[in-house]
Amino acid sequence: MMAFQYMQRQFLAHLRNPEQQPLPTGFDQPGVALYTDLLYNKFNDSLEMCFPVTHAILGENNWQRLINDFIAQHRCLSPYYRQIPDEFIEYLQNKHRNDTTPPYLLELAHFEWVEMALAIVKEEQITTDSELITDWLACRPVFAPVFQLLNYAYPVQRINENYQPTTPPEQATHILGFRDENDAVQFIELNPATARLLEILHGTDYTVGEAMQQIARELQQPEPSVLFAFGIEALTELMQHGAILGARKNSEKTIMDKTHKLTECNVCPVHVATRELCKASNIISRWFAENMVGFAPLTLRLLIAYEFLDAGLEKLSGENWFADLAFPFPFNLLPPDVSWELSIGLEIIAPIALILGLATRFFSFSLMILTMVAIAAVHWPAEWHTLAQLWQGYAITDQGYGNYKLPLMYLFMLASLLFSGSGRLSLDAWLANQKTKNG
Amino acid sequence: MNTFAINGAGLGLRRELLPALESGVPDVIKFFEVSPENWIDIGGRLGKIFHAYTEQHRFVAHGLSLSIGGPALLDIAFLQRMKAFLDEHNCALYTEHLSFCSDEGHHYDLYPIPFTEESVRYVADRMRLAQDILERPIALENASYYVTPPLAEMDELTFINAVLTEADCPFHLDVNNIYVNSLNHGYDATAFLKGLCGERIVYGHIAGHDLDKSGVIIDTHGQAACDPVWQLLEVAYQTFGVFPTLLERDFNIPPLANLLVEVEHIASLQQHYGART
Repeated sequence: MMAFQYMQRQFLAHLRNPEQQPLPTGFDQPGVALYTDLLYNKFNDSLEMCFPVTHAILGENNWQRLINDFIAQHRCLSPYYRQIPDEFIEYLQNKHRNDTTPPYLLELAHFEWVEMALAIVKEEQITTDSELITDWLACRPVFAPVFQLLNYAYPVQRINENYQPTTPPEQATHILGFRDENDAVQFIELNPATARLLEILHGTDYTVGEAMQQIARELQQPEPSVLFAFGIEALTELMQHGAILGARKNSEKTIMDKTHKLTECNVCPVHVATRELCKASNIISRWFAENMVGFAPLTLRLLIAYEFLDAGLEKLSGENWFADLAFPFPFNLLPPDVSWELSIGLEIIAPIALILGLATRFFSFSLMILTMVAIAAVHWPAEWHTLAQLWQGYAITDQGYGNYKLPLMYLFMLASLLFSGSGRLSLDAWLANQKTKNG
Repeated sequence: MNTFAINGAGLGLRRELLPALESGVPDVIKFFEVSPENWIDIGGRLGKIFHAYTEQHRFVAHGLSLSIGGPALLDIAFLQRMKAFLDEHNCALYTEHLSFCSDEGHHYDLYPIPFTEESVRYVADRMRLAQDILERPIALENASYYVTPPLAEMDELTFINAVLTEADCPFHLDVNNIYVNSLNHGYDATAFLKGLCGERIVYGHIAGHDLDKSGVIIDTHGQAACDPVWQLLEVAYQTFGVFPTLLERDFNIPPLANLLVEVEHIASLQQHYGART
């Protein structure tokens, strides 16, 4: 170290702690004292502004002692003057607590600091696109871009000169701090369950429904649905305050939620009964929505598989009767033998795939083509003049007007499968699951 | 020669002035100045307002925390962050104080560097490194100080000129600091001013000061500039030609109209002494 640098270090050490660090020789004492005052005032101005309640509670003497100790003991690594309060919080966190400072000092100071910090902090990420929430349980909420859950042992928001608890209350204090769309910082006190709900939703990829099931498990509440109403109410309120912006786009919508807004009347028996009934029906529909939606395609798959497999096996053991049929373009280009083999093949392979739930959309679509060809070639009336005549073909047995009712029903059932896919109990779902597991 | 993209008179942009400027920036203000340390990583409402200003107006960044003469290593991460800031806001100029403000901890105040041969070379080395990282020159400003550090091998004027020459960097002239130092340390302000490397001046500051109870003049930027300081600015324009000049006001901030009187005074002096040749 060069001589002048050694002198610089001694000089700064003295300014921070004039009582214990000697002034290097050659300095003019009054000028150095002026620098000591300027240093204290710089730190004090910044900290007084950020921590008015802490300042008031400590009183002038204790406050000065604390600031002097902060300057003497702490090294501010931040090059930004505005971050002196950040450095002060760090100092309080590392400081060995003594009996003269109140036990909630750090928590109180932190709460005062966080308001300033939230007001100026840069948004962590660009606000995620959000859409209107139509289904609370199925959605993943988008939170305000500056969003901080705060947990304190002491009720820091109520501490002032007249209320200074000496021991922490039984119940911890949970506060949500966030910046709303007008960039104003808001604080909302939360009950423990809501705080936990937000913690899960903010920290994981869970939907509201999944988060509430998680909480139900933690609370050992066997019936999660009893928590739903409470959770949705809490989230709705947070949304009104601007802490929740909407639902994340593309979130899976598997749950048909119906939040009935009934006019509340606790006296009239009709209203009470209606409300209870609605609650019960809500619970039942939620249970089905959460647990059974994925099985919806299964019954269709089995029924269709049976019908087509039956036809396929029948053709397998019978004679080719396609030669006399007039197929629509482009199937009329194929020789009857080829069409015969093709249709038998499809009518045997597709049903097996449907039972397994393998490539359900592809086979449903293939069977739809086959069915349309069948309607055109076999079941459509040879000729019709009025729509009323055509309508007479909507029948099981042919009365001379065609009999396209059954294949048309298959066609519509297949369309449903084409739209829904194979559902939960299927090879498709299993394969998709394996794929996500392996990244 | 002033090669930087600013001219005329400017005003230090303080948060307190934002409401008054909302209805429009008066024509006489040709540019603003901020301390980048007060705006780096500021988001929210203030961040948006600041962005709107830097998009519409020319800005000078007047740094506080580089500690070019400090005993600790140069803060490279800080310099990189500074570069990003200067680029992001398209700052016309970055200036810093010829002083130090930290060892391993920051004091957020400016202290005089001992006037020695060693410290001249030390500061010049660090200036080259810092300018390399920033990929732009740093204009160094003469700073005010209240104690003369020991070990001095030369006077302040020689020290400033030596650093500017050795680092080969532009000069940011603060006439108020010359005035304050001349009173506190007993020298002739005009002679001092005329002795500076005038050809390196790219930018100027004018400000007011306060009298401490101990009798020391403090460079607070908390008052209007006094007549002797205005006279120094005139001497500077007369001697070195006109350069873009900013009114600094950091404390005790009066209504915008009062500040504009001083900004207009700068502009009228600049007009009077004409374009620099």
